[in-house]
Amino acid sequence: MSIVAGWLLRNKEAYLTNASTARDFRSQLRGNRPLLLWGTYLFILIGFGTLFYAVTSSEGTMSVASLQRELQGFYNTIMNMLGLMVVVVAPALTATTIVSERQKRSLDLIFSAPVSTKYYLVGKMISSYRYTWMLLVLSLPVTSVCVVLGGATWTDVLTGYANLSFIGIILTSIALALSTVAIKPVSAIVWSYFATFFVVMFTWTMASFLSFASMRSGRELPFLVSLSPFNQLNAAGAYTQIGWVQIPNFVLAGLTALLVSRIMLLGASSVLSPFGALDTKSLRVHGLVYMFVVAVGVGSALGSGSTHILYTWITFPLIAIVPIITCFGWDLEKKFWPDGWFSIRAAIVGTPAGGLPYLLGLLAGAFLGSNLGVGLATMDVFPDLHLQLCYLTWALGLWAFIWAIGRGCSSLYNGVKTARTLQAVFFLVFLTVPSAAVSMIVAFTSQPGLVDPTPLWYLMPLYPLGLPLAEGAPGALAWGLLMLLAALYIGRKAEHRARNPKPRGRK
Amino acid sequence: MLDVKQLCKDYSGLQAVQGVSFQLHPGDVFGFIGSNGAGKTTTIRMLATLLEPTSGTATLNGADIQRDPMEVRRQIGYMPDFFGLYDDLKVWEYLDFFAGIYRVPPRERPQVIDNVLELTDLTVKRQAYVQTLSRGMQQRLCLARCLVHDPAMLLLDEPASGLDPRARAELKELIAELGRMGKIVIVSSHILPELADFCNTVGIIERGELLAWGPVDTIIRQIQAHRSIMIRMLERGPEAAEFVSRLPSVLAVTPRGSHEIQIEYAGDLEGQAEILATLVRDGYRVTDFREEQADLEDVFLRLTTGAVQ
Repeated sequence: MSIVAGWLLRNKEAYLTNASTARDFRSQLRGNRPLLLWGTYLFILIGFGTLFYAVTSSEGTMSVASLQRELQGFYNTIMNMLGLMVVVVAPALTATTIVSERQKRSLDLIFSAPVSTKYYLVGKMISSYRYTWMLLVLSLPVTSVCVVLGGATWTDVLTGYANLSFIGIILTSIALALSTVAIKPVSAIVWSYFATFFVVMFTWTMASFLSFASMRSGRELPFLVSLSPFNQLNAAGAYTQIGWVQIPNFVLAGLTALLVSRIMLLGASSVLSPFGALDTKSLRVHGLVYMFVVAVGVGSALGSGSTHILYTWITFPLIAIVPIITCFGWDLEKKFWPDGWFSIRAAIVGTPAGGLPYLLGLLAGAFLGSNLGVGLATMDVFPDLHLQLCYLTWALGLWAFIWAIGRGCSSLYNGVKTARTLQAVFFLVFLTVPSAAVSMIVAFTSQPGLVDPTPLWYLMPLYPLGLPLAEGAPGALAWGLLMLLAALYIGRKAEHRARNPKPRGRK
Repeated sequence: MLDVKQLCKDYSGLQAVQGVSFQLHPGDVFGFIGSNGAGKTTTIRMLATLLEPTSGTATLNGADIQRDPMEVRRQIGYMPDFFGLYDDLKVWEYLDFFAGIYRVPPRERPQVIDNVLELTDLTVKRQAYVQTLSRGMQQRLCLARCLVHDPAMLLLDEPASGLDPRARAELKELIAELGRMGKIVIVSSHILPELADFCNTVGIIERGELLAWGPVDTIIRQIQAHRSIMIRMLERGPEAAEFVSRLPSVLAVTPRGSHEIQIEYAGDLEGQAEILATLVRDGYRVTDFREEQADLEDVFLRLTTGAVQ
């Protein structure tokens, strides 16, 4: 069988004839429960529509413009209700899928069969997402009333539904990934809603900020608007201008949803697979590529001369994954073993020795990407390179130091979770809290020169407003080198301790 | 054929399995004996490709558990020491799901499901919900699940734990039948009489080390080099003991109370008969004369120390 035919067969099995999907379909649609749920859902939607109609018609005479506004308001409310439904239902349906299987201890039965984790996870995702999508489709008769009465066009409605579907895919995939990590269903649900809240706030804030910042003409809007569940009225018909091409935003939103769901599925798959699995390698490569692409995007969008801060800020959210890639422990069945401190091969395989090189790879991706982005926007590649290198040294020092803390915590305790928690706490104390403090000082000071951030010099490269680029460079270089030295010392000590553990007693 | 060579599993200093090696052929029913924590489940999970060995290999009909896990999975049926059932499914739906997972073509599935239900005597429960089945039935359903793809090898981890005597007897018969069907069956247990009934090969594991493996008779002979004969007298026990100790090929005589003596004997069956004849001829009144056969329990107790890790 050729490679293409094999690939097609595997995808057909995963997406079209997935046994897991069929099984969930049977249990999801069994009995009166779904009928009752859908009936209630439709009753609320239709009841709301009827109420609106009754209120509007009771007003008697109304100008066409007012009626148009009312109908648009009705459509907006319906779409916001659907957005709320997606935000509430998608994580609820997905968060417990894997964790409940783990509690039932049925995962072993499945993974002793010839199925890949991809096959299984895709099946689970389709099962969860299908339910959300069915709820969306069921509401179509209500939204179609808006089209008939004139509050929206079919294009608006279909674009809105496409966008909500994409948001559903993103939220479902995130909840699925968290479900593989969680130990209890309750924690999976809590974390999923927390992540959903973050996504909703991020898309909403970014959409508002970028829409305001761009102030472009016509329907040209940042595509993030389409991924905000409560912004569908504005998102309808919006496009993004790339060069001479106008790309509808729902296309970009769909593409983003696919990319996010892919990396989430790879993450989930990596958690369920043994070390060195293809899924882990693919996840790591995807991480590097995404970092580069995001950096190019941000660099070209800002196009400013502040390239030196781009890769520091872009890499900042990495803290969400740093404890996972840098800490190791002996308390899990999987092999988290001290296998050296620096191995480029391990960076892709996913063992602890790959933690530092992988972090450096991400940083390199951010550095190169942001410079390329700025270069595309301003035709000036690597502006102020000598100054940039000072800030790059600082970024290297910072991440190496955080890596060393993770290694140190791992060598002190057997449990990987303890090490991860300690590293995260350290990050909070060492970076997040001082960052917030400095941020407030910088924001509320009219004369930056008055701020004396000496005790927090190690954070200064994150706050370029407080210091001109050239003046901040020596400090960044000095602090970068200092943190690098500290990282090497702590990392070396941790490696020695991990290689010579205290003997563990037999139980 | 299953060929396990020097299989090891190391949890950073804790050696759960240490160099386990054995070979099994179609039709072998292999009893894997060991205390709790001896390394049975770890070995079985490695064979089921759920755990990666630290070192060593195992191949099933040429497929390596590390290099070609998917091919190994196609050939095995794994039943862990827990059920992992889906309560909200019917019995046939549960089997249909696993038939799908094992890529049994949809057209063949109804027939396959009927066959495995018949084999496990669950045909009448075809439409019942899994949660309504008794524990014994659920166990048989788990076994039926392992059989939907007609595997060459079955890995059964503590299959009889928690079953009542009837369910246990039915399961034993079923496992023996699977052996007769030409499948390699690996059954782990620490309940020895249960294994002795239907296993033709056993392996004894302690602290991750396989202390002995092979056909049951061979292993018993290995640990019991000499015959052990128990003689019960109506009277004159100590005197008889003195008398027997002077007979040829008698290695040791141990009086057991005033009427019983146990002798270690290096001779053959004819010599054994001659001992009885001599005793009777010399006026000793013998009420019982029998050779004591060691069983799996004796073997296990003699080989192991009871230590776990």
